[in-house]
Amino acid sequence: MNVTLARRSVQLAMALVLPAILSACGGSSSGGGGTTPLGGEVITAARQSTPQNVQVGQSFNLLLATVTNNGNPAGNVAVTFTAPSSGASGTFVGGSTTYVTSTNQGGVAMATTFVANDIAGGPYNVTATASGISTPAIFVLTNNAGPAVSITATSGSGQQALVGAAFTNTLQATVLDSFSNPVSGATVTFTAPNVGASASFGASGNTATVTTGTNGIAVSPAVTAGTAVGSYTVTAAVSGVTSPANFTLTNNVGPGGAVTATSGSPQYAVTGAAFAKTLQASLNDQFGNPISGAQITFTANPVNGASGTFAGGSTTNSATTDVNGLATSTVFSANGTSGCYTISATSSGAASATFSMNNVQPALSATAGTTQTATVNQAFATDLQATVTGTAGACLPTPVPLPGVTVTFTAPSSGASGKFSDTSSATTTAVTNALGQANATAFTANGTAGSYSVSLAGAGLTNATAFSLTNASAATALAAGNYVFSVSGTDNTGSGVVYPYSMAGAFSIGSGASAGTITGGELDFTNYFYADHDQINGAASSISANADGNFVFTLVTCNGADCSGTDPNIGVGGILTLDASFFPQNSQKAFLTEFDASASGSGTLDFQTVTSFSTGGYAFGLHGLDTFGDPLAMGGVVSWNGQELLNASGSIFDANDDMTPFSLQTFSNGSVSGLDGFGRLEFTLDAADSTDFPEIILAGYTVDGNQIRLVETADSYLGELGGSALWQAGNTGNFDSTFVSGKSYVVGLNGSDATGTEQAVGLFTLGSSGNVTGFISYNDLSLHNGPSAITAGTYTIDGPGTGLDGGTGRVTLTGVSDGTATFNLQFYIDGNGNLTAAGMDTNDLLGGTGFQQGTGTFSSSSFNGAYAMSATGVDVNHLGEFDDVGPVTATGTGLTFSGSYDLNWLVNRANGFTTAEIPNESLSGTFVTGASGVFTGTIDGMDVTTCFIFQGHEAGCTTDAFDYYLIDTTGDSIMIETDGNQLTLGYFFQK
Amino acid sequence: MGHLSRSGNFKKRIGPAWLACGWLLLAGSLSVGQDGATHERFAAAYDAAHELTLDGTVEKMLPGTPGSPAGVHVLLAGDQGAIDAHLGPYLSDQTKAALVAGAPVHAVGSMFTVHGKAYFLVRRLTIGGRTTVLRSPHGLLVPERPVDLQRSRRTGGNGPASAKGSGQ
Repeated sequence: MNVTLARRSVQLAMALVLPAILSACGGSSSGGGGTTPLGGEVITAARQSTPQNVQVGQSFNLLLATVTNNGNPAGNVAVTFTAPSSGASGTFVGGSTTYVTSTNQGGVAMATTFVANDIAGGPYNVTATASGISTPAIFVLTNNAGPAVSITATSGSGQQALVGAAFTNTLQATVLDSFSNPVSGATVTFTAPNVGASASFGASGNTATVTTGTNGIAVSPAVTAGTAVGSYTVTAAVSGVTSPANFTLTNNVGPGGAVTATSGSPQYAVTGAAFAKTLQASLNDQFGNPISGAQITFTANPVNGASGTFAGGSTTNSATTDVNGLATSTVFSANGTSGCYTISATSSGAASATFSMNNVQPALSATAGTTQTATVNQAFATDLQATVTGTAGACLPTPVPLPGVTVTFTAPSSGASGKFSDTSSATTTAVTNALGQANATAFTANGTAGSYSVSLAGAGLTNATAFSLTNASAATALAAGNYVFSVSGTDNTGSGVVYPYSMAGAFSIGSGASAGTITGGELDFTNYFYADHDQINGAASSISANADGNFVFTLVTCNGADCSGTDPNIGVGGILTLDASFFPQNSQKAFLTEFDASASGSGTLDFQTVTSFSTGGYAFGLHGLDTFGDPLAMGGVVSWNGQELLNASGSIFDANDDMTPFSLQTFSNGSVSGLDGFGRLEFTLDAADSTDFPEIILAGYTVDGNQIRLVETADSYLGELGGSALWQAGNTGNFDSTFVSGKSYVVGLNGSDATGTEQAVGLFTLGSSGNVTGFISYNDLSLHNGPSAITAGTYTIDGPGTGLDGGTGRVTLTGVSDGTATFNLQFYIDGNGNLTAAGMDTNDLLGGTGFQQGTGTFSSSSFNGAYAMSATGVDVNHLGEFDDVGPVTATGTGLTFSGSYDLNWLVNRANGFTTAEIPNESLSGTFVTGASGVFTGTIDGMDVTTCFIFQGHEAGCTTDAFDYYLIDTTGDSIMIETDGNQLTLGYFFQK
Repeated sequence: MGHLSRSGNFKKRIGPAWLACGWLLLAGSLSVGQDGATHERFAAAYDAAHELTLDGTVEKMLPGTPGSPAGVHVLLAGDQGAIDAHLGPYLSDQTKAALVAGAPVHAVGSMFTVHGKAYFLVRRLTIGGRTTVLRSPHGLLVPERPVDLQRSRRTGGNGPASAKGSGQ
């Protein structure tokens, strides 16, 4: 717009200035009303004024006419400029198509600015006439169209063509300017889609470029449909126009090309039986486009009598193709003749397809798990599998798998047998897969030992002895050797009172002909009233298993060494029953509970790898009753040089006796003696303070060279003590801060305070500056909390040669508190990731064990897989000890776990103490991840008060709150209940 | 007396303060404020230095309530009122059978407050002509035992069962 105005301004200026110039040169600028021309005059158009062309709406250069008379300028001659009154034309200033003026002295007549109208066209003439002059001057002018502002599809849209064929008409697009004048010479590009249904413009592919004609129309080259079926849009675009013209074209499917067998070939069926799959064929055109709505006919072609029929009994069957070009037959069944033949699939105008069919003679066989042994009540390792195959004489001599065949697995209904997991019965069914394999669900042996067969039936065949299975007695799964057990808990004396007890011992599993049997053993037991050391009558002892997979060891004691009778102080009439849940990833270790009516306790079972005793330091911990029957926790380090205690250095102990701390005590003497074939030996310890701590003699059972289970035996101390000792090996005497600085320890503590039993679990991180951080959870039913951040606390450890405890591995934690509870603890570390602990408070009394926490990232997947669980606690109403052991499986992704357990519960009822041994109870739990491997969650099914009334299980068990302190990223952990429903402290261990 | 004999062996643990404060007659002061302290800290200690003696009768057995010390509770009535006495979980069948309404009781223990309620934590109980120990000298619950058990056991004499010595 500015350009146009500028141009008009120049022209106006020239209109004003040029007459003056011409006048100066002898012309005249006067207007109309001039003199009449004389004879010999002519009028001519100035050469610069004609011809001219401009865009519609634009100004032409000034129109100048010159009048001469005999070659001389004729001034003051009236001249009339006249433009066409319609069509392509223009107007002078004022909007008129005529303009009158006079020549100047130079004979020049100048019209005002002449502007093209909005009609493109021309050339047209503007005349300049003067009276008396017969021939006018003519200005030849043309109005050109303006820039393109639109393009529209004017022809060719909406066409259809078969794939690969030419469309009838070309595509035409019209380009117009802003005044709807057709724009000629414009470059138009036609573009079809690159993919899918499309079209091409000959050799130029899916694009073509053409130029508009004078009518503004661009005509595409011939258009040919592509090979893909469907509707699509071809665009026509011109430069400067945003919206292209759109042409909708459709490629239609071509004629039928071929029928294809898409499913059901080849197939094999037992003679007389239906084939597993119906026949399915597809119909497509030559380019593979599916053809719908067409008929496909399936026709059996018998060979030597082998054939079959479709549903209804016909040998032919027709079906109509769907939108995908697929047609499906009815069920086809083999006739009674074995052999190979075909079924053809035909459709008019298309090539046919052939299905390969085979009527076969079947074979049924057991292919996996055929000969297996499992421990009673345990799942067999390999699921039972049958395979069904078929042959068809000479045309099919090699067996082929038969899918879709239902196979029935049947185990004996009584005696030694088992049950399948999906039916919980001795029978199940499975359907063969593409490999001809029928896979039964997991099969679990029942509780009866013995060998038996599981039969197969299917495809008209039976195999009565397909699988040879054996339910082995529990003991056969145990490796030959010694097993060390250690249990502590509450003993029902049977005289109306209960007392804590501790017990440790070892028994042997034989080999060869004695494999799986207990061949002997010995144990030490103390419940404050007794301190017994008995042999175990192997011949009378036995092993069995519970339904949850726990092992049950029934140990028959001798009365001392006299195996003609039993020790009535042990178990029930001298028969001790231990229930063990082995660690899933370490078959040499298990959690234990005493599982009889005499007591309830928890402990461990370990395969004994050595029976020798190594010299050096041992961190030890003891917990129980003192001489007077009052609670006592003791810990320390004893260092041995051969069989003599190093009493001058390296051996110290601490004790909390009825909440009176005895710190940093020393020994005056000590010895070790009597190592026997079960790894039993005796430690005699003489404290320097012989008044408060008369001579203590501990029976020990070596486990693996690193650990010894301890129980007080007959001595002068006359207490009730049990615990363990941890070998420090080469670390003996060399402990300093580097062993603990920056390390974290997960510690479980059990004991009591003024209101009763107290339990606690902590994650104690020992900082480089001597500070203690971490988390603590605790519960005594009156008050409970956790996990609660440790906000205060310090620790010390003496270096070698420093103080009485220098280098012993004794760590003193002082004032460890979360603001509500405060603990003073002694740790005694072995340098190999284990510790014993003793509380040194004056308001409670605790003892326990702990583990150095492993490194790595703790996440939900840390607690995942199979674990052995152990729990010990006290219920809130009957206030009897309960102990659980059993297998639990955690699902890290689901933040849940579930499992089963065997419970022993010593109930203090109004009419006296009663026990309840309840196997195979179920539990479930949840967990939420937390910082530093301290998780929180819940457990359902373990609250003895709400879940059990002795042998009955109540609905609506209390959901209890728990904290889980992970020891490592594999989920081994210590758990503690943190509500007021009951007290529970337990473990989850894989290894 | 068990405690007297015991103190001879455990001089470090049983000091003169306990002897001076023990055996006070509980007279009209069985109230929450008796012990003069709150015990909302976890594992608050039994106040062995301020033991009290109660002579009264069993009024009734009390049900356990959440947050109270776990175990058997009885309402003991004296001349000046009644108090919730905590006997713990380890009572013998014989003692439980003797806890009937109206039975005369002589109890030694200490006051203890938790969740705003006062309890009389019984350490030594005399009922039905028998005196038994329910708590250690510093207040930890222990399996019920006769007051002279330790001496008997040391000498292998008249305890509920004799130690077997070597066990062989």
